[in-house]
Amino acid sequence: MHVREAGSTETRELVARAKQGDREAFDVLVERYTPQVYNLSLRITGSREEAEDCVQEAFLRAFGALRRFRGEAAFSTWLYRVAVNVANDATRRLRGQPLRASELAGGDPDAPTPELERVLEGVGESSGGKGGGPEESLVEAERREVVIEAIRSLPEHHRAVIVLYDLQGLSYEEIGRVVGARVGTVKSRLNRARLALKERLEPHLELLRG
Amino acid sequence: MSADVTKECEKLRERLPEYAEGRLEGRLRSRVEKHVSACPRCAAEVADLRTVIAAVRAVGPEETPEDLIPRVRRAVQEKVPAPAGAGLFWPRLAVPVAVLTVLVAATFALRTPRQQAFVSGGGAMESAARMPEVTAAKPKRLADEMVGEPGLEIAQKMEAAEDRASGVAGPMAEQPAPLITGKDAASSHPAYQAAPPVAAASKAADELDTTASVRDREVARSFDTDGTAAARMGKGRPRAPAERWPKEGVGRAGGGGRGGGGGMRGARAPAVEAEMFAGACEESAKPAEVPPLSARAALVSGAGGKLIALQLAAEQPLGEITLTMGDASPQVYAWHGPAGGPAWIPLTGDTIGAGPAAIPIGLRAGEESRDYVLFVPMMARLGESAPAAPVGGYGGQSLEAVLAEFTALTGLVVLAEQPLHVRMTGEIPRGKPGEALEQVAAEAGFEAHREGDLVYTLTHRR
Repeated sequence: MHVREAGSTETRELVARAKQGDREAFDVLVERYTPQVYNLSLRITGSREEAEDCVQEAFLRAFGALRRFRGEAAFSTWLYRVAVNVANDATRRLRGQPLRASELAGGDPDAPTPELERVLEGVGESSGGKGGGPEESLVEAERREVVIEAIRSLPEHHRAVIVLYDLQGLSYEEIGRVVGARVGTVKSRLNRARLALKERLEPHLELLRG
Repeated sequence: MSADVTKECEKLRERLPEYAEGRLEGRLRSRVEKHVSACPRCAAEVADLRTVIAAVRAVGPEETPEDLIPRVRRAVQEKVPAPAGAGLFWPRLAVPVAVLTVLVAATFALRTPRQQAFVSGGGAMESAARMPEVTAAKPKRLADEMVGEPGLEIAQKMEAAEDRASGVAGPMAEQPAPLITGKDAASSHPAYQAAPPVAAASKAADELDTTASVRDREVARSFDTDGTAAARMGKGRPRAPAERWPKEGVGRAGGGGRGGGGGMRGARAPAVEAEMFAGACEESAKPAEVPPLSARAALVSGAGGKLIALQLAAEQPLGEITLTMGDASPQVYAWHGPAGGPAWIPLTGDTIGAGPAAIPIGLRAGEESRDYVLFVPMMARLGESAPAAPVGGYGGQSLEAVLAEFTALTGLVVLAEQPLHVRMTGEIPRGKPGEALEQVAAEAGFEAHREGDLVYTLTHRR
């Protein structure tokens, strides 16, 4: 997935209108970019609830500072930059704090994780749907869970490049603009991030291979 | 496995992820390919990496919660003010900000724990012995005095240091490593090679005197975590900016809706001069107790304040150092580098308008370097005392407006909704400070002219 500058001229126009205070332009930009910003925030913070707050915060910050957006970079890059900062801030705040009640699935340690819960909720559909069957869905959910947790456990600068590159589909150059680093740095950081991720996923490689 | 193969493993290991993804090209690809075919361990590593990369990509996006978009829209409509005209700062500012020269003198001093005890017992900080006393000097001279470029080596080490500090090797990286106090650091370092002091300085030493010194344990503790720092912030500071700034400060600051007309329209864009200082501060009266320290500072001035990027580096964990801003009593907001660690260390409200402000800075165990950005609002430069009221104190503008203009010119985002936080939109560009400055300048629409090894003049393109 990627924040596409599809119709970048249109985006530029929207941004220009938003700068003039056009409320409708704000609405369109929010609608267009919320899914990407949400997923970015979700993978950085590891919390749906926190990610939702981050999305709101990112848009407020970005729009609040819109007058200073010069249009030299793509709006999406600029928004990403703000969003990554917001999500990183949230993660730092979260660190060391207990999960919110809603993230603990009722507080029962044996309760299904959010990923598994979603699968369980959809068991009926999946068993009669795509043919994967509930067991396969459970395995997939477990895979997702371990990968998400491993990503979440990465240091901030590693997590950001993994999320931006592998999950958001940004290029090295785009990531460089988002995190304020040169392409060479982005590449080497991504390499190290992947090695770090592999170390964390070492115990689960069998599960991941399926 | 032969020694040659093992050596090649080490050399190529970092490129294996790229190879696994199929993004290596040319001779390097051939080299890795050849090695992997002969090395079962690396072949297994490549296979594992492919599994991991595929698993990460399989995570895919999640559906956006149904009510999120309407909720964000509502928040935006309610909280983002409608822009009305442009900024109001420059035309109304009486000071000829158009051509500002950096007027910062930085003096770094290291105090050993023993000296710290002396300071504690002796009273005033001003009277404390400053070891590497650096007097004000013109940057050009500083550049001439620079011997070698310690920062280059530092820059090369930074990425690796970042990883070590943040935990490629293990999960412990997630928790900030405990700070090593000056005493610990000093006692752990066997030797110290004294070097001539080369530190930042500029034309007006009396304007802003910056002193670094080893600080007491109390300050060290305050550096330890966000929470601790915040706790300190929250007590007994009736005039702290935290209490003055509105919640959505950025939006309001950026809106430019207050006051009369004018603004940036028709205003001549300020030409901002900046000077770049860098130096190594490697000196001590007690050389055996202090690890080698490099400190480099980049200064950008003229946009409502001064931005000071300070890069610390040391071969050994470094104890607490206090950066003391001198008589101007500025409000200073300190930002810690991007990789982990406490995000912000503010000066406490107690220091605003009364006496020198002190920022504890230092390196954590395992870190070889750390970047700081300090922001000194314009008022400090003007030598005026900080206003008691938020509005009208800074050239007729609120502090928020000043910061907003600063952001507009430097590309740095000032976040007022989190009190006392001033931060960049991304990471501080790593590498040599000169490059960092050039990058910041380029993003902000400046042309950087290199005048000396580490002296730059920035001219606004507009």
